[in-house]
Amino acid sequence: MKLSTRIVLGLIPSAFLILMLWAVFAYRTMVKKVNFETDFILRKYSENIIMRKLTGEQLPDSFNGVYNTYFIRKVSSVYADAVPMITYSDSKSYVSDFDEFSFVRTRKQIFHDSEGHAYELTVSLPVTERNLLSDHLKTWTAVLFLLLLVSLSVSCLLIVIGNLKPLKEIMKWLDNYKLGMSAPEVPSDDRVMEFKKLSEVLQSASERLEKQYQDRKIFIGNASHELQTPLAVCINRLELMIDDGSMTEVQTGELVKIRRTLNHLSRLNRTLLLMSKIENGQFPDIVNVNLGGLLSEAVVLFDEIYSSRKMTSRIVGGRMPVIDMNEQLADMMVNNLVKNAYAYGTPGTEILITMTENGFTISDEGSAALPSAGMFDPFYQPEGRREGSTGLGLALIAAVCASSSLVISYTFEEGRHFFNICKH
Amino acid sequence: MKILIVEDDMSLQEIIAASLRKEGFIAEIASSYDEAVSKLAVYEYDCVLLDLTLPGGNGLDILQKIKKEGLKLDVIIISARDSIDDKVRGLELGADDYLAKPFHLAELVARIRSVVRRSRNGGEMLYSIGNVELNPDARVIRVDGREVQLLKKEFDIIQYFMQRPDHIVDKAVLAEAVWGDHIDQADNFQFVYAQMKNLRRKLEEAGADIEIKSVYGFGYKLTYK
Repeated sequence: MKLSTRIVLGLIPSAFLILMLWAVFAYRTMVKKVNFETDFILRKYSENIIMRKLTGEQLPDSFNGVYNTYFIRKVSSVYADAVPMITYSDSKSYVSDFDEFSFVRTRKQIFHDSEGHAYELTVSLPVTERNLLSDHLKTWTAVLFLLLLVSLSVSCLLIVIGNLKPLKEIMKWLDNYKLGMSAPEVPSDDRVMEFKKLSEVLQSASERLEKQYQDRKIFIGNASHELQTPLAVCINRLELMIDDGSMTEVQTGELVKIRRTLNHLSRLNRTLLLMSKIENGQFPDIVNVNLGGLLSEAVVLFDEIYSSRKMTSRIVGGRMPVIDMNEQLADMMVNNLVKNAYAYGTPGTEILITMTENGFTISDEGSAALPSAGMFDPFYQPEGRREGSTGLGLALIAAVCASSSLVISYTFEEGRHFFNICKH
Repeated sequence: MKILIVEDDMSLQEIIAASLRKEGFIAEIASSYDEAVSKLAVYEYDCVLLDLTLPGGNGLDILQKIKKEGLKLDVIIISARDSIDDKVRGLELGADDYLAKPFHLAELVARIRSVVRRSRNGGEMLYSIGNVELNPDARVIRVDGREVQLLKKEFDIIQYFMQRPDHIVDKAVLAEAVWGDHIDQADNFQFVYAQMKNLRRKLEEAGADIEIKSVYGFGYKLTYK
């Protein structure tokens, strides 16, 4: 989710709540004011009638043409003492003069004349207009509430997008950044302190990383040169002696053995340097790699090389794992894992490769679980040293996985070793 | 054929030079950047074996000079750096081949012959020993002009031997060259024997006057009958 969207989505609930509280408060205040005005009219009307009644003036008609009605009845002193002196109520009543039911507000008041007789005055005022006004108020408050919420959200989104533009530029720079490639300067916006600081920190971090990368690359190159050249000299001198033809069979055999050992040493050196290169990120080219295809090729290759072990292999699973990673590293990882299964699996048994969309599992038969401590560290050889093995195979696979956002795991179940590779 | 070996390691210079002279090449040596540049300015060579890490400069700069001045010679980079960047850059600058150290001397000789033959034959390469002729680009082998049908691995093996006639080839080296680096933990070389047996039979049946002989049980050698 984009930061701008997240900020706006975070703002909407609080804005909704605040505007809702404001709308309810405004509506209730307006309705209260309207009711107050109605009650004020009723009070004035009641006082006028009571005054006329007590002074003996002529009372107005019970229907005065403006829908107001009143009614006076004599009540017992017990009743007068029992009910509140003034009460207000809302109801729907039949107005005979208009021959219709109408919403009315009613005021009742107890009063006494000079002789101490108690009366109850009931004054009613039709409130249809007031109710209509309330409904209008309700509708327009809701419309205003929605308009405010939408306009607030849209303006907030536009303001956030505008202000986060420098961050967007920095993100774009990060997406295009590749270690070892000459990158342009980090985009900087001097108007906002935080963005300026972020750009400066990124620029200095990328320069530092680039220097470390180049230093290590040069070191690997030099180390490789210094180690491989003497090895080349030794191997080539042995080749000259072997080719010379003046050696006996035994002597030639010994020279061949020395050369094979030197080849092993050279391979070990190359693999260690390769691991350093992987850890240094010197395989930056990422493509879409179909691991299913690589697995099928590896099975054909190792079926032939390890034909004397009489092992069979089966690839199952509907979906081919397709992963974004360096092709050379993918090839290395797949070949090392399949080779391990062929080299260490029990002869005559089956190797099972299960593919899923996110990775694959290779399993081979074994007598016991491998000690998991240090399994993916260099020079791990739990089953005793195997001729030709550098002990770096699993460490190399782990290095490839770590640099390619993949996870490798090992389990042992029902007499089988399982190595699983899947996306992080 | 005259070869300039640009290499700073004295022992390696000596071995490469001795090996090339044994094969009938004329081999000259340059131990530093400056020496290589001055020799290339004065003398003519057919091929240069170019190390990249040199006292006084980078081998890639020498390659750039060679191409800039339009010298008609082949360049094979021999480097211990084994870096893809160097390899790609070297080939982009116009190197004809790249060989990572340590290499087998027979491999080096075969590569020199390949690049020189390719540039002299206008891009086409042909190996010919006795009545056997092999075209690696078209992946075709003919005995007395008749094509012999070989499987992929059989063809790779005979090509490897035809590039190194009369050299003893260790079966481990052969296996690595044909099947790749992953043969390192193989229990035995049965997979090599099986292919070799079929290849020998097909060559024999076709009437080839070359043969691949076993040498002391650890290797092979291609010889003219």
